Amino acid sequence: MFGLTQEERKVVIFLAAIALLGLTVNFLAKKNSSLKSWVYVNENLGKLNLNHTDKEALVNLPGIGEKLAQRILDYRAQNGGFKSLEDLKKIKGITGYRYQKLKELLFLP
Amino acid sequence: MRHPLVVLAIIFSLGIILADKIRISPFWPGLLAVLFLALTLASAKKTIFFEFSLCCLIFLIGVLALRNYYYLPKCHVAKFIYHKNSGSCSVKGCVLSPPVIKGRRSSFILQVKEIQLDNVSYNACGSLLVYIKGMKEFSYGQELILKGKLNRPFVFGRQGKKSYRDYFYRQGIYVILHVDPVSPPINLGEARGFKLKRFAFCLKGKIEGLIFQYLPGLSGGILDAMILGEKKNIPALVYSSMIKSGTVHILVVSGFNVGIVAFIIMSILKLMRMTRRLRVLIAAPLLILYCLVTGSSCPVVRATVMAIVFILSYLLKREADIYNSLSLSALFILGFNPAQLFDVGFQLSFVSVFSIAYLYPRLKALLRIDVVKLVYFKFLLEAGLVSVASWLGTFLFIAYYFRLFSTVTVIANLFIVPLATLITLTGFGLVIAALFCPGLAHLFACASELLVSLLLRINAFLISLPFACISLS
Repeated sequence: MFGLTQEERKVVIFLAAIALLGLTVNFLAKKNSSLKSWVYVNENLGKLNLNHTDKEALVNLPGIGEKLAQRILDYRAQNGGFKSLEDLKKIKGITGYRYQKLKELLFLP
Repeated sequence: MRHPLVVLAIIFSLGIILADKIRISPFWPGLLAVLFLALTLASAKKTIFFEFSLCCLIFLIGVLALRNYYYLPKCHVAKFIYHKNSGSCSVKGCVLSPPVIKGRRSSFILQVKEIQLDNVSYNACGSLLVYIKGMKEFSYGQELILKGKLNRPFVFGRQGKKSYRDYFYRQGIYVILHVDPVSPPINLGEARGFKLKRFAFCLKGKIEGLIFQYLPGLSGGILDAMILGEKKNIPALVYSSMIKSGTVHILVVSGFNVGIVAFIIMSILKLMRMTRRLRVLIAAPLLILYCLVTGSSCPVVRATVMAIVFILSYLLKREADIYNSLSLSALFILGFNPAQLFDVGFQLSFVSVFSIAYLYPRLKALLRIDVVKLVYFKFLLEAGLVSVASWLGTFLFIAYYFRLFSTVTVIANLFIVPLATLITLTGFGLVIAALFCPGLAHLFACASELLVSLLLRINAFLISLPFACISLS
């Protein structure tokens, strides 16, 4: 009926298997939201949690030295944590340009 | 078999139809699909078993695709409507489509992220349609907080028939938010979403601005619809008169427009003395951009996929088959949204292309058009046959959905389609001239105005003929 060659058959089986797997994963993630974090890559993966990170990790970020890292930690301690990433702008030494760079490397849950 | 994708697309569609008719748990089709996948793998070398199990597998994937599409997660915004008149709530999300301004209100689609009910915030997902008073200029990706009331779409259709609510459900919209006029939207300002889509919508806004700068009023509105698919500036009377003559397809961006865009791109690149290979390589991404600019409607996606298949077949030096590329585009659209199978636009688009591809060569051979020596007369006959082939394929669908039977469709298309081609060409010419040589733009604007006027007059004349349009309702 289809007249497919052996190679074409393999491609069709592969595509059908991927479609079936994708549908199953999507359905299970919808049905059980706890599976979502297991199935989908967290968009904050590779970023630092600004309210939990330590000084050493902050210093390792590009554009942050010892002093600036200390100021960030001081601000966090004084204000009981960051409410939003925008609060970083209130810290001395974090300009608009630096904030744009840091925004990509940090997150708040 | 020369058209394996046609069989696969039909079987996949049958699975979708079954899932729409019978409410079954996805567990059993899922289990069966896994079994048939194993069978397909095991019988890869035995043709009959392989083909049978592959058909069953594709059919079951079609069933699962629709069931999965209609399954809403617990956090979906539709789950927050507990009763008919739910109270006021606050919704945070980002704009998915640029606002459509109609009358004194704007509407757009919002992708929900958070919902606040009785001062408690919940993470939410899904899309909703927003109605807001006044002319609002939001852009794609903009993050907003809106306050208002949530409703389900109303059922305007007759009992047992497909309704307005079904139409929205097929688009993945289960909720409408009527924004409270006393609580203005809070703009969080962050632009999210796909950068390419944001660029496409920005480009659309710029092109619209140029069109209306040189061609205000009805002519600009018609040009806007023909080039960008925006129907908001077309008066209802004009629109209904085009429906009556069966030429409304020129007011929406369709495969016809994609063909013209491809022709313009290829012509410009040819003028630049580029090689054919380079021309097709440049044309493909530009067609994808045009598809995004026009809002990725079903006929445009179909035409873009088909065009890309043809481009790839040229690059790979393989023969392109219209039935296979048509089926591939159907599988592509249904893979994203299986509910599109029940959409009138999807059905008309595919049926008209299929009937042109199937009937046109047969009609041509039957009437022995090739024997005609006069070139212009032959061209006219061929254009008429394309129109007849398309009409034969679609008239039953039009009669069923629109309760209309137009007797002038074939004649109207014979005059209006060439005019629409010229209008689209002058429209694109106007945009290009306005960008690079504004002095010439007025000439294109005048030509477009004349052609639009001619088109409206011909259309008005045709529908004024006795028995031009028979209402079946």
